[in-house]
Amino acid sequence: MGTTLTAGDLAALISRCTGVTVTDEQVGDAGVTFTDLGIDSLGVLGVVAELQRGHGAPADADICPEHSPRELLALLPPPRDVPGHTDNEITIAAPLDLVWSTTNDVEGWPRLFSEYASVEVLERDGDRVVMRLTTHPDDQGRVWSWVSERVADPATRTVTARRLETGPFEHMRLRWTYHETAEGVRLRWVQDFAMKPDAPVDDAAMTRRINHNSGVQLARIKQLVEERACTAP
Amino acid sequence: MSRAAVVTGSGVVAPTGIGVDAFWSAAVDGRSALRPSVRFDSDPYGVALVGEVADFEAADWVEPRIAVQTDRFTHFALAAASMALRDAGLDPATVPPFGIGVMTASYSGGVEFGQREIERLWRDGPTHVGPYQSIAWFYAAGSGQISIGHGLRGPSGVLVADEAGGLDVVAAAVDELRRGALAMLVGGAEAPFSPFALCCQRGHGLLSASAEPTAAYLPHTDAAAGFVPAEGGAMLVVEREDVARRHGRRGLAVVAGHGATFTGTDLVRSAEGLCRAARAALAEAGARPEDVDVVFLDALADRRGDDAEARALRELLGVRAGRVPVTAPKTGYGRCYAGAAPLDVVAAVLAIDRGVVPPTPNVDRHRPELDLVTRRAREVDVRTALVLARGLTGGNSALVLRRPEPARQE
Amino acid sequence: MIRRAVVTGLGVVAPGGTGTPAFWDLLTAGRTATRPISLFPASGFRSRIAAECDFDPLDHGLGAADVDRMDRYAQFAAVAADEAWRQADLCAPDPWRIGVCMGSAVGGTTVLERDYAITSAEGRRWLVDPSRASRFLHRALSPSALAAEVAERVGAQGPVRGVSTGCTAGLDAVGHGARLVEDGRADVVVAGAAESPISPITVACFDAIRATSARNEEPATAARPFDRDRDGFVLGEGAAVLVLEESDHARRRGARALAEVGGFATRSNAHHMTGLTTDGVELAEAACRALESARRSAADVDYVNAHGSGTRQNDRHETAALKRAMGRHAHEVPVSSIKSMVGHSLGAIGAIELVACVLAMVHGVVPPTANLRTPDPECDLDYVPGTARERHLRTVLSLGSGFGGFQSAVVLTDPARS
Repeated sequence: MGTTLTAGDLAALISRCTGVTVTDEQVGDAGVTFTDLGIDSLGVLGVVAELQRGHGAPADADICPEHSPRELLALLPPPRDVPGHTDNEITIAAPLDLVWSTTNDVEGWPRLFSEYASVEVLERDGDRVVMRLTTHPDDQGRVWSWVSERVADPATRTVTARRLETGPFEHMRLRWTYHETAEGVRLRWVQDFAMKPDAPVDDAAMTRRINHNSGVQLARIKQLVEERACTAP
Repeated sequence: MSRAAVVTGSGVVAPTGIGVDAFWSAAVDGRSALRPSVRFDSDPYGVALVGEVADFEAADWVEPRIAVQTDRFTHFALAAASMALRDAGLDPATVPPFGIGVMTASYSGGVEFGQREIERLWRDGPTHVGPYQSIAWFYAAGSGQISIGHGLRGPSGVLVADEAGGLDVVAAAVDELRRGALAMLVGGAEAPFSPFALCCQRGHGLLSASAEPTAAYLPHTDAAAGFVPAEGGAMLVVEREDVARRHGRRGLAVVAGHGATFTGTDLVRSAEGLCRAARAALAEAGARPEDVDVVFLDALADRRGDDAEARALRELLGVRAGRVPVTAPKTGYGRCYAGAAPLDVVAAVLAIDRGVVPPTPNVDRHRPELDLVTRRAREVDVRTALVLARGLTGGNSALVLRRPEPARQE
Repeated sequence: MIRRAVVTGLGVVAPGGTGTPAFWDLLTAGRTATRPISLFPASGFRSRIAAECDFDPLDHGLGAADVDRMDRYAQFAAVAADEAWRQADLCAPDPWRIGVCMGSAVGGTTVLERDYAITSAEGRRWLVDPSRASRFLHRALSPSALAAEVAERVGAQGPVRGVSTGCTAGLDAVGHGARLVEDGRADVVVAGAAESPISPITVACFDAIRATSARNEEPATAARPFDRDRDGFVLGEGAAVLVLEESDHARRRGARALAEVGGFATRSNAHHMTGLTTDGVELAEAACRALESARRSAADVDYVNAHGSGTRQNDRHETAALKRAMGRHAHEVPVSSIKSMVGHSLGAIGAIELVACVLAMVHGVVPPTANLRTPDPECDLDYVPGTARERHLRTVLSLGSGFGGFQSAVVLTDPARS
């Protein structure tokens, strides 16, 4: 989810945090308080904390059940004031070592991801790699290409990456984490970025684009790695 | 216990069945439900088989608003409590405001919820711990949520004494009846399976490593090599007999006496401890050892522990020790810590009510000096049942249940 | 014959001092033991202050093996039990007639969290590594280990159990312990409670619900029960133990009865896991029933030891409950909260407060509420601000309120009058 939270996004977030099903209309209606929705003080605290973590809500946000979700939405900073942030994950039912090695084999990315037409390694130094990534044309026919630096830490199962050649971005930083759970390995992608003022898309649009694409790519990776896990010797 | 306390209903969430009827028919048939965990790979923790409640859907029992703020052990407790009230035909709204309380026994708390939140803390930082951790992890979550869910404002509590606490809590509830409560919901439920919780349990050294369902939990046999841990438990409605009768609720059994002792972690010493606890329970019930018609065993499946239990029974029952039917239905579903004894109490209540002693699943060649009911359920006219339980930290408890006297003509 | 439970021994490990003399000094001087957290690096937390015990178990009779086996809260309990047991000075009691009843809210969290961090590589492994677990980790998972440790220490072989009703556990453990005596299940019961919650997970829990004070720049005055500017409780730790004895048993051996546990009652608000009603009906009901079982009326109460946690809602709720339970007398009786000095040690505090109550009766002194400088118009009783007060105490009421909706009350009475 990005920094520009729609009423629908907030409704979904509230439902997830509190177990109370909330509609877009209720979130949009300034006359409907959390109490009206059957959400108590703990539920509100959970929602506010979630917004503080991922959406730039102020640390001292003082929202109680007598407030409306609409008032909470109003506390969020306007989209241009904060950089973009996305957070996506998927759980892959495969051994950690396989998930790690497959997803860090950058030369294999054109097969693993549906978006990359090519990957050209420019430098390699242990777990650090600098590479040029080039995408397939998007739905408007645009090809994107940039240089990234990627550092993998097998000890903590964490990868950090950033764009060296930033293109339309002011900056773009990525963090991949791999985490063993009961259901498999949770692969999580957190991206922080800001678009340049003259970029063809703004932060909100890029956030939506990344969120959409991450979902597609993660699902594809899950499928490919799980297939590989089944056929692995 | 001067004024009789009767069990008028119970609710069960067990690996062998959800609901009293499913649980009882599985027990009578001697069905077994020991399987590899479907939640995670338990092998690294030295456990191949567990007793899991496979077909439990929280959504059937817990509204979503409560489900997000509670661990699985509380889901079990809420489900069992609802079933018990329904089974008893007791609507709390019809009882005076402070008339009903709830008491539960607890061992491991909300471990799965807790591991998820503590993981967020250590992985992502303090601001990632959610607001429900403070009410989901602690041992009192079950009692608190049940009292809120059913509007029970009477005396409530939470006892912790490992497995033995599952009997102590029933006695504590009866004590509240003597002090003025009209009815109590009492019992315990456990969901002790998260990787970290199992990692902790591994240390007590009594978990069975066997991967063979019919050989993993064999108390009182030469093959005894630990127990299979389980999740689940039971809640019972215990009422003052006069109140139950006035409202036309049938008392299935009288909770007649309780005794508890402590002998530490040396299981050899639990022989004397169990025997003294049983004697105290019988004395409180106004019963003699020769009145005992069936014994529900603690059944630790540890050589020293089993020997001690057999010695306690020889000491208690004397020459009758080999003739009194004894049983351990839990070999079919495992030991669910503080939920184990409440399940045994439900089984004992039903044995009294239906005149049937369920068998000890999977156990065949057992020690000869006990009349262990194996293979098939046995018809027994049970007027007095003795339930035994021991805690891993050293408690020994005994509870005596008796068949209610027929209603007097008034 | 009516059996009654009297107190013949006291022990305490509290912030600001180990042992009853140091504890009582702190309370009567109105000093506070709250300070910046030193037990772990707390820089990322919202609340970074606590009332900590300066406690070295090896200085208080515990051996290396005990320290290895016991979580910090159990070490506190063992030391407090030793002190209480010494004072009770029983000569060859029948072990089968000695019981134990110990309370705690969060149990062995110190060791659980330490081992969790190690076995999970600080949160990176869901499937934790069992080979890195410490040997006694299973005793940290099992909350009954607390009562078991105390039982082993005093040689108890009667009923041994724990009570874990969240923040009322300390009162409830002593109340249930007294019942074991009253009901003839034991002649002597070692009752009390212990907690060592000052660890990252517990601090983070209360951060998440903003229950604790964030007055990090003013640790010494952060705990302000009943003050208009209160902003939550300050976490504490510690243990307290009372030796309860059947009154004739005590009399026959010439032991001094310091107080009688005259009454105990607990009720649930059935309202909310953390929220309180504004009218305090259930707490008032618990107080009235506890007084009734002690055969006392509200007008007999000479001192109320309040729950007084210093959260906005608790102090209003409790004030309302006292008015409801005691009528006009609520305005006449001194009411104080020692949490202003020793913090809120969750399950332990109820027992620590009962030890304070017994000491108050013995010395004829009401401990104050420290840091109460600006009255809250909604809390309009006599909270004994700042300075201890001499007063002869024959009937004392101690209140507790906790997560889960539990509301408890214990009444202590003068044993000479019974």
